[in-house]
Amino acid sequence: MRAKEAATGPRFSVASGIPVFVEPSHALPLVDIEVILGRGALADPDGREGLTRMTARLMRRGPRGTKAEAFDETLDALGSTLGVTVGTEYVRFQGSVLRRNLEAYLALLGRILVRPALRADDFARLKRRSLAELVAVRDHDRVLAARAFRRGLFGKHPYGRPVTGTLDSLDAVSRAEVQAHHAALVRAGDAMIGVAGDVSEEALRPMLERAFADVPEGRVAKIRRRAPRARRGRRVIVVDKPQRSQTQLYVGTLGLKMGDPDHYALLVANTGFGGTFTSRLVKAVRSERGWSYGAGSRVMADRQREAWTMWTHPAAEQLVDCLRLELDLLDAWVARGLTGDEVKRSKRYLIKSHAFDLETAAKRLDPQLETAFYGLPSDWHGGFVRHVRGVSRADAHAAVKRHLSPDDLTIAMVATVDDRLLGSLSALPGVRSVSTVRYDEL
Amino acid sequence: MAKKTAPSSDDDLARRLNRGVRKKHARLSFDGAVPFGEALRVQRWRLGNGLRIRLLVDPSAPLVSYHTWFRVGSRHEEKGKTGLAHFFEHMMFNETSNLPWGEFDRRMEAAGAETNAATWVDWTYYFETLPADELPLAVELESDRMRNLVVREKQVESEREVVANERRLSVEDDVHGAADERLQALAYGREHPHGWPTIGWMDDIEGYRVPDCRAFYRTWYAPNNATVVVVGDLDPADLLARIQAAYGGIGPSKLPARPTPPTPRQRKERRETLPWPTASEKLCLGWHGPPYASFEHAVAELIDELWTGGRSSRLRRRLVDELELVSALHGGIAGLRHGGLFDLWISMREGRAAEDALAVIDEEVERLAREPVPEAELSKVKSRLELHFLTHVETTGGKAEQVGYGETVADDPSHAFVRLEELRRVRPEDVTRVARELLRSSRRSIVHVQPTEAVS
Repeated sequence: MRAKEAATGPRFSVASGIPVFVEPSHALPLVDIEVILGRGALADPDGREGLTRMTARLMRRGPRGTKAEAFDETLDALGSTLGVTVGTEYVRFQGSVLRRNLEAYLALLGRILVRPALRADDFARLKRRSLAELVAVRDHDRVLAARAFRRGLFGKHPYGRPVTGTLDSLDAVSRAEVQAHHAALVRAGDAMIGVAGDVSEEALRPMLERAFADVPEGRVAKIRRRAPRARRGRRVIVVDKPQRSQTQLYVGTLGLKMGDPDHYALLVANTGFGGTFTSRLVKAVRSERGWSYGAGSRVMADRQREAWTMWTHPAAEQLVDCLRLELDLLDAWVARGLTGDEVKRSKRYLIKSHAFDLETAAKRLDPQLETAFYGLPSDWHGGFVRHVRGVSRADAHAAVKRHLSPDDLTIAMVATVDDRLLGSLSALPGVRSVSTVRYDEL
Repeated sequence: MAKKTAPSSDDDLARRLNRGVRKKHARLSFDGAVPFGEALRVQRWRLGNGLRIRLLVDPSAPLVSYHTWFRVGSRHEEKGKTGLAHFFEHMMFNETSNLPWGEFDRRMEAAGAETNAATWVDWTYYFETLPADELPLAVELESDRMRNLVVREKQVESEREVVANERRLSVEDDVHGAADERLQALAYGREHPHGWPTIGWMDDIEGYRVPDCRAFYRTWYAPNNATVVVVGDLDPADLLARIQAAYGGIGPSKLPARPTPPTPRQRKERRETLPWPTASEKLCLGWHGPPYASFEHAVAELIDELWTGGRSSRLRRRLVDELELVSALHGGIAGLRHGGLFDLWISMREGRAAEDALAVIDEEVERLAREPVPEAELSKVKSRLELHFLTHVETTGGKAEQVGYGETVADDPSHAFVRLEELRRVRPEDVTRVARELLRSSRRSIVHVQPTEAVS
């Protein structure tokens, strides 16, 4: 079977200049909507980490003239959802709505973008709530381990800062800063709209023109992005938490830049290493030894180099053996690459399973938005099958060697610390340092 | 119950497929079709060995989803062997007499398939969603592991370790998982099948032996205890012929009659405290709820949405926004054949007392029992439930799951649409009536999580 390739490019732009991507499907009376703004958490000043997310969440509380409670009531009555996600480079408003209520939904979305209320009492309430959520995160070991990993890998680089902010940085954010941040956040020149589902371009166009007519023109101020640097040596960070019977464990190093020519070669290589149930890592850790219920590896990309990680969660008594095994597997993979058979199987899996990426209108829309947002070549996603097919065993190995350094690793975990554990971790090959941090001080 | 459609060419197809078939287990019969929404229908077929087959032709994507639902879950287990149904969910990905260890996954991945499985109280199901031209592979491998699984000490030992680690992840080190497990045991008692965890007690997991596993497999993994659900871009005649050939040689098993004991009577509220290393108090509450295939269950689903659904839902608004007592809140009603718990999970903000949240819940119970829900609010909740419904049937796999769940728990493959209609016809007085019965404090159990160390 040949998978249908995704279309690229916007269908039209609204008068304010925002490009609109449309992926129609009339299978169900449902529409998914995304509005992406071209500025994310990288814009948070030092000491104000979490400002962009706080701004976006406060916008979500509703437009001027409508109380937050009434706004939520209206959204729910429309049979809709509206969420907001903040990344390092973007703010994304994303939701679904029953087709019959699409126009009313878009009108609300337009109002919160251009004229959000940003009320003082909503701000104070949201701040208290956000602080409470940061405390609640301490119950989630995987989140704690991921946070420690990013802090260890990226150090003082902005990618190492939590998008959610910290207790101190959020506490320092003022409403005036949020208002100023909003004024600089919403610009037609950096925004894009995506619509997928039960709607035609003809019906959609006038709705969007009305809803987004007042979005200010122009572009947001550029953020200077410096490249993160790999720290030398293998560095272990243990998040100390009482009574852990199991360890959430992340091991990784720097990954890729978005659009890197090695992207598909590294994708193929990683699929064989830790991307499927029969991959090396999963087979060795889970299938053969039963040491972890979950295991996997992943390459991430952003405008600067993101992370490559492998993760497992072994029982506390198997932690050191499991980590040693993972390091051995990584060394062997970087030194010798995958076998020819592994490369063949990885490519086949990626090509055949690509059909899932095109199953729904929303799934077909996403790669179009990503292509436009990051300025990727027009066939970046559309040519997925061809790109994967073109990767050779040598390409896959060269990409691993070029980008992943097994000598320079960040190893982060949540565990109950004792001297024996720290000694065992220090004795692992290549480990330069072992540091600890209490789970409630991370 | 779903209505049957008139006899059709499906009967002719059955006659054609049965021509020359001698084995009685392989003879196909057509049990009618039921509509699945306005545009689709589910065909109901049965093999002579008792295997139920449900087909839904949907060419909207070049994919098929192949589900095998076994009517065995944690309520079919015995005391001392809890978790065995879930354990088998793992074992079934191991070797068969035809396929060496690891080959099932290798062949599925080569076909680009997404595969997984799940277990709960009433069922265990296995699925693969794959490109439509790979459908024969699913028939071959699923029929093979229904009959030919090899159960050896090595596999039992390895999977026991994996499952123990899964339990550490989801229960031992997870406050919500641990509290929920306590809640079920508190509400039903540890001796009742609904009172033990689907993943099993750790002592039982560590004690699984090969003979237990073989006996479990022989008893429950049989065609007369299974339903094959296939949804997607498929040709029914071709698929049915393949199913006949692949499953027709498998004999039925003698299924034990093991009725689920009645829910123990609860005459007063039960409470338990769970100490945990956490910054804030939590509450895990449960009331005994109605069976899944009942109108009362639909009303309970609506009450859950009314309380915890959108941001404007009653409990969310009061506990999270107005009183700022709670940082996380969610609820649900278990969809079980004999009824499960209507539950709430509440994570307090640091320094706030769980009893304050409980007082608000009591007020909201009283409000539901006393005041009819305004029509506008009811309409709002129905709109949200309609949205949920549509998102559940958007994908090929989502449709197959709805068909399999309805068939297995409600004896109706199109139960999802029955539920949608039930929700549409709920009136304010239905909510009042069900709330009065469902949310009595004497039927409530509460696990109260208390922080074990001060965290500031």
